[in-house]
Amino acid sequence: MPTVLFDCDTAIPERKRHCYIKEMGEDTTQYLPSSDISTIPGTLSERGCAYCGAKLVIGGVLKDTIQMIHGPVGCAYDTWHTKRYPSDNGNFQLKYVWSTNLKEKDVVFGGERRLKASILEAFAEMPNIKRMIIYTTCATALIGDDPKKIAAEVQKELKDIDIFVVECPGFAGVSQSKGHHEFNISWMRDKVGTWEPKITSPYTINFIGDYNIQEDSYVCEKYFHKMGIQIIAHFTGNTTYDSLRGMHRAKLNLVNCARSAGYIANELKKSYGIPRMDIDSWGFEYCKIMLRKLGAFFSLEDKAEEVIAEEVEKWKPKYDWYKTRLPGKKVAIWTGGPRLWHWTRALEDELGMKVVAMSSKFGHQEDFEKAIARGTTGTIYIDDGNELEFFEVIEKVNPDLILTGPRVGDLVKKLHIPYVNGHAYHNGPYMGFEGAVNMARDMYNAINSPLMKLAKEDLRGG
Amino acid sequence: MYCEIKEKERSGIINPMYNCQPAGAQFAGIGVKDCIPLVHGSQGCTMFVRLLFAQHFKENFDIASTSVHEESAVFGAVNRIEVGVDVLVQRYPHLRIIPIITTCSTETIGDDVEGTITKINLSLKAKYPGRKVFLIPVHTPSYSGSHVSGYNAAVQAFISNLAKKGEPNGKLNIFTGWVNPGDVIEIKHYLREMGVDATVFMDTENFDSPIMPDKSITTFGNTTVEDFIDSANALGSIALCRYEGGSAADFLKEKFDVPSIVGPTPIGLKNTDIFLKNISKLTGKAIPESLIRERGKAIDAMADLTHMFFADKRVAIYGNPDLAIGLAEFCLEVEMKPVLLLLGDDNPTYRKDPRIAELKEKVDFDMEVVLNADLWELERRLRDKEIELDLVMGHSKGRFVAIDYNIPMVRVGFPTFDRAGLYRHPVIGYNGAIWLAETIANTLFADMENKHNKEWILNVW
Amino acid sequence: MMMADIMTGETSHLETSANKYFYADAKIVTAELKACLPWLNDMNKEELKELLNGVKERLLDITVKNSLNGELRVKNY
Repeated sequence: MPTVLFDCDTAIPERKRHCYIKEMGEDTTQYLPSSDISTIPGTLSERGCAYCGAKLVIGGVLKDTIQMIHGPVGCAYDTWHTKRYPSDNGNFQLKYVWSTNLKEKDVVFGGERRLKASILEAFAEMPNIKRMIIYTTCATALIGDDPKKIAAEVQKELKDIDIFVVECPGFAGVSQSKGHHEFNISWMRDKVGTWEPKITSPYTINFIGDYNIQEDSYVCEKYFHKMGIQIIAHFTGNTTYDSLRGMHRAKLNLVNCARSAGYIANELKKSYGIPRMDIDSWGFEYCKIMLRKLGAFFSLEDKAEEVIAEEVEKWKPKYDWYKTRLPGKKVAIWTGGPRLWHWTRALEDELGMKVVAMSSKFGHQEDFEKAIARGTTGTIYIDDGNELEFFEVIEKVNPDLILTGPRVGDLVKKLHIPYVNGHAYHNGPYMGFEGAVNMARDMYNAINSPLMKLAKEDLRGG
Repeated sequence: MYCEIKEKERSGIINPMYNCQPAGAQFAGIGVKDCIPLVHGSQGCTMFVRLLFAQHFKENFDIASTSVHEESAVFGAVNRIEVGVDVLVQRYPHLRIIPIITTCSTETIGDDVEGTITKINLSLKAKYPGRKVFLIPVHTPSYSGSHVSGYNAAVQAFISNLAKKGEPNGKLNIFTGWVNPGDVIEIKHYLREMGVDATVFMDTENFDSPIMPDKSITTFGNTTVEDFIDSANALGSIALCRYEGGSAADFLKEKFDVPSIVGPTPIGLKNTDIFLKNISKLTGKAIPESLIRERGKAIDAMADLTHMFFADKRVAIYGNPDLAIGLAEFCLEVEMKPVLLLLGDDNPTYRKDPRIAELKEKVDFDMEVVLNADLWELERRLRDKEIELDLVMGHSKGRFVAIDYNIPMVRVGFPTFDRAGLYRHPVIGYNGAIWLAETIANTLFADMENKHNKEWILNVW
Repeated sequence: MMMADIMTGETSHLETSANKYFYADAKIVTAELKACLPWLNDMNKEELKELLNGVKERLLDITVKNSLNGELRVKNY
């Protein structure tokens, strides 16, 4: 079936090219939703901004770095306490955020003095912290401040500190995706190769596009360490600023989230000849493939099989329990982008669920090629889905569960549909073998909640 | 022994305790019925604020964005207001009012919101004869004030754009300020008990909304367009918060001679007494026996706790200025010592607030009031051992300070996402005083037990 | 045609990391294909090469040549 126009979109017929229902025999050379293009104003889009992509998703994860947000206070306030990415050093990155608190007179006369003062204060208040990322925002980009000049000045004055600047005003691009891109490319250009990591193993990788959501990184890291593999840098879960400067020393880039971090893997391949290996880390079978590929690359096949055997033995019985209880359940995946294609086969092939609808906030057409190739016929694929479209999708496919963010979850609970947090998870980690069990458990519990059944009952009879 | 008023000396912020203006304007906007605010700026200005409201209320609120992208940031973005309004009006047939809320980006590029509204009004009239959708310009550049002034500006924008002189309606206008559904219920309870017909700006009672068998969604504000129009014909206005809705009451007084009383925020017994007396004064209605009984219950509950557990406890308070000042006054009522008061943003009038002056006169212990504060002002004092605290009171953004320094904390204000259901409880009125006192007590009790600090006292309390 | 080599049991050259990567990828895909499509085991190397060439053409067709992904034609992403 060609792309479809939902009833709620008659006022905005241009939405037709963003919505597609797959039919038997079709492939993405016939129909591919438009994506990563301008948002239609007033649609109640779910999209965020470029600054969010740079700060909240990637840079803000760094566990030893001052996050200096050069702009009005809201940009800092709003990207603080909105993520679940812990670290092993007491969660410095969750506890603090910095703002230059741009004011009207700075908009008129320039905010560079305020920026410099804020940087110096921040280092002075926390003398043990020596690394900083400066983010520009809408206001400071528009007034034309030059944070790079200020950063260079401060680096000269303070010597033992290092500052990275990312220019990511909220209005850049059409979603958070532009901020991912800016961060990747700027980091590669400015910081990779400026620090030498200590090499402790002949087998070295960067684990790219994993943000330690609910301790995901620890799970994967455990497998890699068991195989004798050294992780030079996590981009950027539970990671340090300096380890990311040493990314050029890895022999392989293992890429999980290709949308937010594929760029740096490509650049590392171009500049340093480091191969990019794309993997999926959710679901038993994908994890096996990930470890086997990694084993084949480093000729560590036996080690990979050992890890797989050990993990499968430990987690399979629990996974199997859910496997017999989830088949046939209809699930919608409304997340950022890549999780559409990361999750659809795992949920369908391993748990027997049916993925009936997928919506991406910021995915590109590349993500839809993957999602549609892996997804089944009859499934609805939407780019930048909005609230009224969601209501219509729910009417059409009546899902048993939606994997989405907490706000949309708060909305659909009124429609008696449970959600599981598809961004930050309910009770993760969700990666790895144990993660697959956790995710299956959370989905099972949500679908079988007695409350949602009670919600349907009307005491007044009928 | 004196109360020192100072300002944060750093120019930057480490851990903000306040948000930016558009966030506040959006909170006012969602309090209106048949309304979807349209935020004129980047998408993050809306997406994050919707998330913040969801974190606090565990509910979804509809807010739209004009999704300003790069080319509009360079060449002007008024066309995106036009498209945004048109899309909203067409796709949401029940919509009757759209506040257009500016942000730092669209204020900096200087978009002419008023001119655009005039233009859209003409086309709406032609396109939808018989349907009136009110467009309200709300100027809230993020680089001025805070969410507090943004809320204030939005409430005033609704009133000043819509209020219209007509027949006296015999009603009282109540401007609640930034409160929770639990507070709105408490206010309505008093009005009912006193037999007063009133309009609540903003009526957010339904922000605590049910899951219904018919799947209906009622998570909306209930203040209507007509309520704003008719506000000019009230017999009086009471604004519970000086900085959140106070200027709307002032506006009605200046423009339409509606008598107004601004503050004090009815937190604690004395402030609630004044609130009830003010209602009585403006409406001529008596304070009924039922409320005297409620007052008595509050005194009774608080008296059980004060000298035994609360006396001389050292408290740090932060949050919206009306709330934080009210909480400080409450602390004095229950014999606690608010030794540190952190007030948000750079509004120079906080310094002249009569309640601050009164605190200054009243306190017989060392107290600091920090203006334009951030949460580092609290943490740094603790880190450097400049201050000792028995209790922290404030919103959830300060949670790690309390956790890391092992200080019991009572979550109060906005947002309180790390405790369940706090939006359901009032902090204002006599019931709010009971809730505050008992929540403080139970928090201290749990802390005594966790730390094995004379927890055996509670054996025989 | 590393996959055809692996399928017919021939060894591959693994000097460069690019080759190691191709080998890893090919090895895993091969194992999966053999598990899903047992008749592959009955084909000789020439037949396999022809088949895999066809598969490769089809993949290139979908993901590159006839792809509707506009981004493929944008330099610097």
